[in-house]
Amino acid sequence: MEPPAPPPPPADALSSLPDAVVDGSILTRLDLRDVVRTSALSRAWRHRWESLPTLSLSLRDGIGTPPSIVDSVLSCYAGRIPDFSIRINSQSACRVDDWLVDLSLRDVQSMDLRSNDCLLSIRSSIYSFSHLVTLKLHRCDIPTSPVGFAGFPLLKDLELVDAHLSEIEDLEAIVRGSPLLDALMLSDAYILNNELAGCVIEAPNLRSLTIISVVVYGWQFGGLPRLDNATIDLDTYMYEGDLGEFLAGVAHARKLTLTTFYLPKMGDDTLLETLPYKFFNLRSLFLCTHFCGLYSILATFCLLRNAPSLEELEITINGDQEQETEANTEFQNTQWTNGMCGSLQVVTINDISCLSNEMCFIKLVLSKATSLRTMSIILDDEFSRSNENILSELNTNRRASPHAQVFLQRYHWTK
Amino acid sequence: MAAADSCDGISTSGGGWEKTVTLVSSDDARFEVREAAASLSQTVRRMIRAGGDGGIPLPKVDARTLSTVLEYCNKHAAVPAPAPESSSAEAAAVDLEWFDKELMHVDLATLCSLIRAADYLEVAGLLDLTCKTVADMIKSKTAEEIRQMFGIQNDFTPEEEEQLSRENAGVFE
Repeated sequence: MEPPAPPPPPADALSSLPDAVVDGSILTRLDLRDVVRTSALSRAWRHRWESLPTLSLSLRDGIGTPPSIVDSVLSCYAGRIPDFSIRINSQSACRVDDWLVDLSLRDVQSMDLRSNDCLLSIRSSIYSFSHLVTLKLHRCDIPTSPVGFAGFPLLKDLELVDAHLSEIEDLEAIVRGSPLLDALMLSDAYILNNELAGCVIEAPNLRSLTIISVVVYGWQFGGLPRLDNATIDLDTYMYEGDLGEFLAGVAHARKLTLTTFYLPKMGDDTLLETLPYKFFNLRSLFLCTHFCGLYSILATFCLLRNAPSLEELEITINGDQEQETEANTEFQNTQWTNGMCGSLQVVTINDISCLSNEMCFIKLVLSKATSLRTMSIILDDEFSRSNENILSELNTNRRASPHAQVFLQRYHWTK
Repeated sequence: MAAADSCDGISTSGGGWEKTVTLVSSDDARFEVREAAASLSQTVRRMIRAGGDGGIPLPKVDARTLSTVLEYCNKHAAVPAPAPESSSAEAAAVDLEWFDKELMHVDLATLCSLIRAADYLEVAGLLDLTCKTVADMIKSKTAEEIRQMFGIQNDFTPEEEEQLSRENAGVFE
């Protein structure tokens, strides 16, 4: 029996456990730093980490990983590396090609490469990682897939941010080669040879699609039968075709996030007023827009008219534009059709400045939406008009739904 | 529905006619357990299938450890799966999480006995929970702190120590 206090550590507690449990279930849960630190415990632990069944080579340092760490881990450890996740800086950029060649034999399932400053050119060895389930590349120049590229048969999650590609076909090939793809995020993809429009994104299992881009490359969404959730934020969607055409491929989503405040490039003849299809499945619509110009107002009404099952609408007002067009109640009323927003229950409007067009829209929804339960209006704390004043204006308004409640909140910027 | 909540291993089956099995610890304590709970152990499940009477002998697990393992099994096998995404499913998940957390408030020796038992009995959820607890104890600690915690003898010579710190210095510390 040991003396009662202080409680003694058990004589080498870990050595009483089966090696397979310590290696396979405890040490493999640690991140790289903690694993390598065990080599300083004792002689028995000196090289133990080097024979673990798997090792996570994951270093998400803010400033970039010193290349010597990756070099020494790859030379000491010969086993599988399911997770390779690092930040690249100018020191390590020139080592990436060698690392990828080495790692392509290590069953990497999750790769996350983020270049901090320079554009990182990666070689086609990236296409030989056939075990990938997750691939995230930030600020990378992505090479054309080699002849005989067998695809990423297990890939479910693809995220390309600030990616440079030479041909639109390169993107098509990656997506086509990933039959299990579940989530695709393209943020600011740059495509060098952009003369050929008509990139068709086909992904039979895709459920989540996010496209954020300043330039649109005439891509279309061909077959996305399982799409559930789409986020589209395009700066200049009038580049080829119009927004309505563009959205046709995602019209069956259940949840849609759209940015529609940008002005059309080709003038008023491309106003979004009618659509040849309806968003039949759409339950939740999140819009980043404003009520200052005719284009964005018409787009909002057009979307609402064509979303018969919509239950939740959230609008975030973008920027501090001046109201350049007056769209009064009478005008907005002409945009409303019978039965529109019949299932709409929850409306939230963020960052409002209570301009007359905005207030007309809120009143119109209150007076027409028969199933409405809550209308939440969130304003900037610095906005001068009092809550009581705004509420009294809205409370005199007719409400189509007996259950509709109006909430007004101010948010405080946390300093 | 009331979950079988006994900590001493005597079955209080909540749903009336539940089949039970008897498990016998290394120090000959007998535990009557609902078969559904005992079957969370793959080892026990195989022995049930093989049949036999007089209870299932578990010579590698003492009574104290076995009672904790069974506490885990009773809790985790008690919840009949409600419809997913329902609020009761969410509440049940939160409740289980709390239970697991409380169960891990034990000293290191007990934790190690639980790991050995969960490994031998093949209770995957408990092995996961206990190993994660040990891994969390190691995270972000210095080598000296880890040695103290687990009673590991530092048998490096001063020269080896120096070489080690040269290799790792500036890289991992």
